Amino acid sequence: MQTHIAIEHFSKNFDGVEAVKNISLSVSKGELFGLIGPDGAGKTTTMRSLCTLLPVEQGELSIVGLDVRKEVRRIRSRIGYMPQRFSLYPDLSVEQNLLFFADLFGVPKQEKFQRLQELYHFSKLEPFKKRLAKQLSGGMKQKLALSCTLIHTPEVLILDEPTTGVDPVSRREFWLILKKLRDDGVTILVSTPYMDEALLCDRVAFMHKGQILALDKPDKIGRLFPYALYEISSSAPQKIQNHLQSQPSVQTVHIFGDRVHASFRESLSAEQLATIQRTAPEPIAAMRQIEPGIEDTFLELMKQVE
Amino acid sequence: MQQILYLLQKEFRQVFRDRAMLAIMFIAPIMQTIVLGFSMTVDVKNIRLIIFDADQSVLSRELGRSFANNPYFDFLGYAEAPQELRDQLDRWQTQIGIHIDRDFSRNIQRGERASILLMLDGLDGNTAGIAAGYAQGILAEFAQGIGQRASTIRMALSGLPGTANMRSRPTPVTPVTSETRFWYNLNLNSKNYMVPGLIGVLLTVVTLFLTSMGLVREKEIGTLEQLMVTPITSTQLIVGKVLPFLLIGFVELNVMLAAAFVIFDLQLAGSYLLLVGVAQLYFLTTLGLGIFISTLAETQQQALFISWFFMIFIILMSGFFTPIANMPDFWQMVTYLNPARYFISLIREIFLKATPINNLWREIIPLAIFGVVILSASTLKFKKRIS
Repeated sequence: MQTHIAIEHFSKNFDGVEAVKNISLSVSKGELFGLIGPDGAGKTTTMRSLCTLLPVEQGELSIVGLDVRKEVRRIRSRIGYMPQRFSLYPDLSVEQNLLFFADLFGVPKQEKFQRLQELYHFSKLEPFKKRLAKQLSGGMKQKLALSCTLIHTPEVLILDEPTTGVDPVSRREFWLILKKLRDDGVTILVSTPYMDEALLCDRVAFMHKGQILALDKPDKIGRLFPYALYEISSSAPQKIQNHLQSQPSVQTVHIFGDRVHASFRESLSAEQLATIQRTAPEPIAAMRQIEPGIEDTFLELMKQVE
Repeated sequence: MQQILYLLQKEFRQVFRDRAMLAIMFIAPIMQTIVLGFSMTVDVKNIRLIIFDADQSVLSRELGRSFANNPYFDFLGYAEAPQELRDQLDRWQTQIGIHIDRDFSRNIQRGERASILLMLDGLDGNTAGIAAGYAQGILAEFAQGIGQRASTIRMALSGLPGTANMRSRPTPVTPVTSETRFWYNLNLNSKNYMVPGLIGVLLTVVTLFLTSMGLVREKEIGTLEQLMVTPITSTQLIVGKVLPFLLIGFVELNVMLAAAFVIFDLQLAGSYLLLVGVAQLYFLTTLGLGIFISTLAETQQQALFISWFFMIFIILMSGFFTPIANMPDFWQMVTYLNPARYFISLIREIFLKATPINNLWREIIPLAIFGVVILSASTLKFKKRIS
């Protein structure tokens, strides 16, 4: 499998603060790779460095085999980068924005309009092509931004939190587009703070404080969870959490919506389970052992770093 | 080259999309030229005057009439008591009070020195100085008219800043008269002087502000970064961003020239092409400065304030309103560092005097040097910032 993005021992400092600490990863051609992690994890720094927007001092970065430090212009014509913030001209129409970027990327005239049609087709933006970019809804803006980064048919897409602040329906739609692009052979590196989106990636790297804490297929990430995990349903999860936190046998307790996830060093016996249910301050509706999810694992990994 | 055209196209689309901005760019300078051209005048007219005549003689009355009939003065009447002069000055009722001594006519008749006291409101030193000059002239004419060769009239001034109670040289009554003739601006009409200067000032504002704001706007909305990941080079980017403003500056120049011709009835004495060439040379400076400001500012608001900061110095130290020759020596030297100084002086020279280019190199060369240095230094700084 051809490697399209390669990061080796990459570190980046800003005025003495280490934003990224010695990370390595590689993304194969046609892979949908997710960078997951909270704000300040170093995701944006990594992506901007890959896009030749930040100088690289330590480590090796390459895209489609080209060195990021040396082949700046060749790389720029082969990648598409979508920054976290909407960065198109609000006072130009959808079509004018698309054509402007097509021109800058040197898309030939005869291909330009065909490409435009393809992009309209998947983004469903055609009815709005005369509308000014600033008048679009959040989801449509993101689709327009994605279309602009796709206008020159890049081989590698780098998308920085493309769905942050977008409604759930548009988010799902957006990910369907990404999957389709991936199936067409486009390599995609996408960052997201949403765990549910991590599950949609082929592989994910979990970043925290400039480090990669885990890197695997999303369904395998859970194996890194070191404890036995139980899900507790109750009408008062907050009270249950407070109670369990004071128990010495409990390793971690987190609230997930109306449920509580609690972990123990080993699987509990029926007797132990009964004791917990009996001593709880509020009635426990159900308590059962579950497979650790990606979020449980990340929360645990983050705790280990701190 | 092609990429630059795309940028230009985009830039003009944005400019024409924004009707309000378009209005600001073209209607505002015309309005400013009209309003300021008419109002910013250094002509001194209608100087309010009262006289206290302690002498009450034929001669003193005649002197009073000479002042009253002079078109520059607006004679309000005679004061009853000497302190009334002071009161009226304090209450801003009058700008000049003339006190004619009790011995005025007797001294003249005896061939001795006669004196009058001129009290001026020195708040506006410029006006007061000019008024004192007029008074001196009237006095000289008067002395000549009465034919008292032997006598002199001394005028004491009070109230001029820096010259409190200065005594002027006694006005000798001489048979020789001088007549002043002003070249290039026969009637010393302020408009002829102010309107060309005003064009220079407004061009500075438009090009400097538009450039800095235009670039910072791209930074602010994040499109600058989006442009950087396209294959265009930073040089193409700068040219594409700056060229539209160069063109807009050129159009503005013509709009304001038209306003000067139609509304103020001015005539361009010198070469139009030379004027345009000089303006383009000056734009190198303002555009360069605009680029420089865009590297300092992160938001349009910051860009606006920094541009304003620079502009105040550029304009007030250019000789547009305050003649440079009136500044202290040190500050006169400092104005040599101000490119607008050369431009304002060039635009006036070309407009009023039709000075041929051969006599203008002294201004054109420094203007060109400043333009090239500022533009290339800012471009380098800009490139460094974005890569």
